[in-house]
Amino acid sequence: MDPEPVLSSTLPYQDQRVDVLLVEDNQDHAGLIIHGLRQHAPSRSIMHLKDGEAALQYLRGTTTLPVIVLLDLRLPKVDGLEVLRAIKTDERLSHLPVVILTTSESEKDIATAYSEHVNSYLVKPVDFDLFTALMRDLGVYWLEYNRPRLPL
Amino acid sequence: MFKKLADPHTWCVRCGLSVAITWTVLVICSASITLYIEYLESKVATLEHLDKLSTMHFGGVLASHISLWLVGMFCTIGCIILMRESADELDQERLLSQRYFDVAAVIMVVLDDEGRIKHLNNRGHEILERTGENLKGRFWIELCIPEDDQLNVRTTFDHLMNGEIVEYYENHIITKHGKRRLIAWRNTILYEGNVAVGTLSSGLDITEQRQVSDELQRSCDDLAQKNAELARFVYTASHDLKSPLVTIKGYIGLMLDNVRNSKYGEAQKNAITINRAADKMQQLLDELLTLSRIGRVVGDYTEKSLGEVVASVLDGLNGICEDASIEVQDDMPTIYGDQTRIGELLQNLLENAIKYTGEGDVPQVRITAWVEDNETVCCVEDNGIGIEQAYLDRIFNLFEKLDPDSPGSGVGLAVAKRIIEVHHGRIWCESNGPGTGAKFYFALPRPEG
Repeated sequence: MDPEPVLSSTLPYQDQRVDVLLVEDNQDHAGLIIHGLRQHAPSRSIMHLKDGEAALQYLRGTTTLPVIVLLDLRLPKVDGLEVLRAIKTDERLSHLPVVILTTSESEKDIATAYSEHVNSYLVKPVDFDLFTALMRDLGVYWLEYNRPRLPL
Repeated sequence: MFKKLADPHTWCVRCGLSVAITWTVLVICSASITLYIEYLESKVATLEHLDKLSTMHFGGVLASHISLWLVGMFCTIGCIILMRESADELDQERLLSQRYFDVAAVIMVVLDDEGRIKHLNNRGHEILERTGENLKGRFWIELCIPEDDQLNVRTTFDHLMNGEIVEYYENHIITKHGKRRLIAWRNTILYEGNVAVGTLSSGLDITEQRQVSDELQRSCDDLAQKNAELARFVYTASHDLKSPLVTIKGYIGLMLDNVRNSKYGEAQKNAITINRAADKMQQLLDELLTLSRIGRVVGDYTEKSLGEVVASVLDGLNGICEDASIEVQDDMPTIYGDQTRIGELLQNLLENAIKYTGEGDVPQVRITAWVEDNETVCCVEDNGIGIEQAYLDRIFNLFEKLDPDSPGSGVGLAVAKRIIEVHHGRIWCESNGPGTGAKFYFALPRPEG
C-alpha cells in the first residue's frame, strides 16, 4: 500500500484536508521527517512548504486548518520564529499546535520559541533511529492522543 | 601692584581727602563768620568803650577755633592713614586671590551680567592661545565660543543670569588660531545683594580625554560587533554544518532499511542523497575557511585599473559565464586595495549575478564604475530574479538564502561583505522587487594624496 502522496506547493490544495503542515527548506530533511511520520500514521496527509512566507500565506488562505504545524527555524524569506509569532498572535490560528523541529540547540532560540508560545521544541537528532523514533512519538502524541478539538 | 589694584586705594584716598577738605572749609567758614561777628561786636564795644574786654573775647574765640581745626585735621589724617592700611590689607587679599586664580590648572573666568570678561586666569589665556593679551571687557561668547556653539552657551548664560544654577556644562571654545577645545564647566552665580551680577566658571579642558574615551568606546563597540558577528558565525556554522550530518546519518539509516528489504534501487537513491550532503558539507567547510581567512590574511594594498581586475576575473569564470552576456564599461577608474581579495569580491558578485537568472533567460550582466567623493564606486547590474525590498539587508548575512532550491551555500555575498569590511568600504544592493533584476554596488576608498 502506497502512502498518500505528499502535498506540496500552495494554491491548488487550498481546501484539501491537511493533517500536518511541514515547513522545511531542506528537501532531504523533509524526506526524512515524512518517512518517520509515515511509519506510524500512513494515512495522514502532509503538506510540505519550503519557506515561511508560503506557510503563512497557506494558513491564512485555507478554510480547513491542519492538526499540527512542524516548523524549521532557519527558513528563507520569513524566518521560523516569525512564522511562530504570526500564528500565535492570529486569533484564528493561535490554537494551532506548533512544534519547532530544527538542528539549532541554541538556548536563545529555545527561550525565544517558548516565549512565543511554541507547543514543543524538538532538536533533530543526528542518529537515524532516534530521528525515526522522535517522528513516531510526535505523530502518536499530536495526531492521536492529543488531537485538539478543532473549531467547526 | 598699586596700579594694578588702583580701585580701593583711590576710593580710600579720595574719601579721606574730601572729608579733610570739607572739614577745613567748614572750620574756615565758621571761623570767618565768628570773626566777623566778633568784629561787629568789637565795633559796638569800641563805641561803648569796652575795648579791652572784647579784644580778650575775640582772642579766646580765635584760639578755640584754631584748636578745633587742628583736632579735626589730626582726626582726618588719622582716618586717611587707617584707610590706607586697610586698603593695603585688601590689596594683599586680592593679590592672593589673583594668585589662586592664576595657579589653577583649569580655566577660571568671571563674566559680568552682560557676558563681558571681568577676569580670566593664566590657564585661560594659555588655552585660548592669548597669553599676554588683555581680554578684560571683551564679550566672552563672541570672542571665545565657536559659532555653532554660541546659541547653546548664550542660553546657558541667560539661565545663570536668571538665577537658575547650571552646575555642569560642556561646550567648545575656539582659540586665537582657530583650534577647537572641549571644556567641561562648573559654574556659580555671583550676587550683589539679591542681584546676579555675573558668573564665575571653572573649565577643565577635556578635549584629549574625550578623544580617548570616544576612541575606547569605538573599540568597545567594534569588539562587541565582532563578538556578535562571531557568535552569529558559530551559530549559523554549527547549524548549517549539522544539517548535512542529519541528512547523511538519516539516509544511511534509510539505505540500510532498503538494503535489508532488498530495495536496491531505493538504496542507490539514498546513496546519491548522502553523497550530495557530504559534498555540501565539504563546500561549506571550504567556504567557511575562505571567510575566516579574509581579515586574517591581508595582502599589500596596490592600485590597479578596475578594468584589468574585471578582465582577469571573467577569464577565471569562463566556464559559468559562457552563456551570459557580459558588458563591461570601457575606461574604468582604478581601485585600491588587496587586489586578490578585490578579485574574489568581483567573482562573488558576478557569480551571484549569473546564478540567479529567471528560467530560460539569458543572463545579462553590466559592470560600471566611477569615482565619487574620493571613493571608487562599482556597480554590477543583472537581469535576474530580483530581490524583494524586505530582504535587501538580509542577503549579505552568512548562509542567508532567499530561495532554498537555488544553487550555492549562502556564503558568497557574506564573503563579499567581509572583503569590503576589511577594506573599510561599503556594499549595498538595490532592486525594485522580484523580476526586475538587481544592482549590487560597492565603494572602496581611494588612496590618500
